[in-house]
Amino acid sequence: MLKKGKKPDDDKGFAFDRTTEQKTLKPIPSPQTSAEKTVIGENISIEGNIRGDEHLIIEGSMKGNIQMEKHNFAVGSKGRVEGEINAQSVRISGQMMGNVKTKGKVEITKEADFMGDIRAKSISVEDGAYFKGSIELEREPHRKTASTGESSAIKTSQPIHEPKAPTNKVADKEN
Amino acid sequence: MATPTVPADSYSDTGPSLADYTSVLLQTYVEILEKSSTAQVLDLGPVCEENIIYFARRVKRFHVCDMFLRLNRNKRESLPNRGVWKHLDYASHSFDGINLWDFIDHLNDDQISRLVGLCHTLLKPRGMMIITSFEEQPAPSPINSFVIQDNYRLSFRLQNHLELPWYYRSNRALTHMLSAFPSVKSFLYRNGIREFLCRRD
Repeated sequence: MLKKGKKPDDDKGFAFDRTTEQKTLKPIPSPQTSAEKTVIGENISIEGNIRGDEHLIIEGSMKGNIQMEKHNFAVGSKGRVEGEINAQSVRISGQMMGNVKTKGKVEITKEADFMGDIRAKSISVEDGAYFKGSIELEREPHRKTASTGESSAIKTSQPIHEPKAPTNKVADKEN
Repeated sequence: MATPTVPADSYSDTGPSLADYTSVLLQTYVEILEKSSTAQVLDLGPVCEENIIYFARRVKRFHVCDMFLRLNRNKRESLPNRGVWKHLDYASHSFDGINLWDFIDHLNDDQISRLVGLCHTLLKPRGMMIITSFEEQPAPSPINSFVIQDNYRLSFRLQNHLELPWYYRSNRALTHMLSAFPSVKSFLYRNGIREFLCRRD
């Protein structure tokens, strides 16, 4: 089932790859001034690539790549997606297998079951999310790590192997 | 394997608790990792947003494979844990660092041997493994994630969705299990948390 929702004014419409278009969905013309998003309902399966110019939510199953660099993509809690995602921002609440690339944020909720690599500007992950993969975020410039925390740590800890002689140094194991 | 007991009172002023603490070994670990522009680190869970962001901003690529959830799922479905290690299907010498936050406390001796062997294989030469472990079972004993805060401070967040067995091991037993690593630095904190930083040859 396709549901139409609000869409930002600058969105221009929706385009599927030809294979997908023929199999399952008709492109829905939308006036440039309307605001909408598309929801792929839980009883819909799609095989093929999607290129879109409006926000997309998958609640059904989808196998293929998704390209929508200027719009948001979400896998709903009942959604199952296998493919590469390139979107403005990505939210994963269902099952997703594949790599995610975004210039914005990736959100992984606690219901998510995600396997893949993420390249993003920022990320949020809820405790309980099932996650196997890697994350590449913009790195912080190298810092001198002189930390004010060091002195307090030393006061509250001691090497396990030298319990009677507190020292500022950690204990190396003797082999 | 026999696990000789070391009296906890010898080392700590108070019993195990979930009081925040500042980790000396985390500082050492992170400072070494930050010197490399290509460092890759693997974290075996529990999944923790703060830690993901912390490491992902400091290393080239941060990998997460939440083994807590996998063990928990096996336990819930009464499945054997033999197959759980297949999830660590990374190539040899892939990582500069591996994070084991309280993971070994929930493994039996055989599982720890398997894990240590795997980690040794997955680490690059001179790669490091940071391990935290409770000196005694904290009461109550739910699983907590170790959340990295500013200045190498660690706090705890309850993981109610996880329920795994807990095993006590003495310091000597733990260091013995890490004997594949020629260099092991260890610390005990007042809140009863033990930390180990192992380095591959």
